[in-house]
Amino acid sequence: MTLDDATFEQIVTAYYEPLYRFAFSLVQRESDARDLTQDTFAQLGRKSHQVQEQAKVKSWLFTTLYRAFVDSHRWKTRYPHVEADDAVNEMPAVTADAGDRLDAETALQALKEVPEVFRVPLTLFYLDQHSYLEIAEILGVPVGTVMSRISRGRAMLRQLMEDRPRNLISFDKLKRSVVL
Amino acid sequence: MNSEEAKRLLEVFRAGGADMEDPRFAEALLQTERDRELGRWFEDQRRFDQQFAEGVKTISVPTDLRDSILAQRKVVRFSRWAQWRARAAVAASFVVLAVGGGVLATNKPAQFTEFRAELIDQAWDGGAHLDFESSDPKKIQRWLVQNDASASFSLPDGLKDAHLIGCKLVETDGLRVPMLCLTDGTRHMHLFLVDGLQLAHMPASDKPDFEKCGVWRTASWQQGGTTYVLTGMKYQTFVNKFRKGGRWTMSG
Repeated sequence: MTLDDATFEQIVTAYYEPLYRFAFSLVQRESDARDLTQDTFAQLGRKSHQVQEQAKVKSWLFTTLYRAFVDSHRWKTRYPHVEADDAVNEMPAVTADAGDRLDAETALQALKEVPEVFRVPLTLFYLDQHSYLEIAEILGVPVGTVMSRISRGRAMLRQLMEDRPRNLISFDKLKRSVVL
Repeated sequence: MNSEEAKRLLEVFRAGGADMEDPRFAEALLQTERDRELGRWFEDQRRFDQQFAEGVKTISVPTDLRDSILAQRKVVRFSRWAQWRARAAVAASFVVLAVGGGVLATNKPAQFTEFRAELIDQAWDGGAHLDFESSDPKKIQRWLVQNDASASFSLPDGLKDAHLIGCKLVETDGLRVPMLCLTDGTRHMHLFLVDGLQLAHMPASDKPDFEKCGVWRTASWQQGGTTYVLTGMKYQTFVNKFRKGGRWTMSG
């Protein structure tokens, strides 16, 4: 892909916000999220030849950012044998009214508490920039795994929202129930 | 498609979202009309997801991020163009010397980028991190004088708030270069001070040369005959601390 200044600016304008939000959800710190986002666009400047067509640039940006995060945080070392699907029967039941008690700030706070293995696909899902097939490509996992993680992550969010006012269940306990 | 299959698929459905062209969703949505229980579940999930999607979109994006990204590209492009020019200049010089019968053989770095890389390599050669520890600039200057090194530097305004830890003398290319070790409270920085350096493509005083050198982010500039090379900070930290209103303030 040829990347002249006008095209680069167009791409930055289109994607810097969702990319930053994704970065923030990964690192939880503004300065680190900024660096990840800037580094990703810097890489685009250097490696635009890797992107075969402009339609693929969005996925390339998210994939590159995610890989940079994984490399820098040794994500796989921290979570060496994540098998979220094994936890299917341990997830809390879904109740009908949890969603009614949400506001954006609470939602964001709850999302932060979800373990990374679920938070990453969930954030990509809620950013609504990619199909679930593309999310699987970005994360480098099978489509079925993405679907499961979104489903389990959502169930954890619901449980968080259910328990938050009463503080009846520590979320650490919920996290321990997932095989990490 | 039965209700169970539809439910599994609808777990990743977003109304008006990125999957709308997937025909399987249309089939799953039809099933929500046939199965009322599935329909209720689906409506509840949509409400829940909508609020979380709004939550994610409330993550505030720094207002100057876009400009920083675009400015960074200009710096990188400038640097690459300058490197190409420097290489071309070196190549041209070589040809002229060869034609004149005076082929020059030297191991000295021909351009600033090479010198900077050597400097940073030498600074992290596995030896002691610091030769002298002190948070007092005067004591550090005195130590440098005692060790026959240049001590005529002044700490740039942008680093006035940083805390000095000590210094080291880095020997490279026949020069003894003072390296100050500082911290801004969270990050560890090294500032190299080189007097009278004359190489191809030196950094300017008003256009800092931002570059990644190995694992280090670097910013280099000149002031009063001294070349400063700062390493250990991230792009954004450089931009926030030293560029205000789009202008480089470190050497102004």
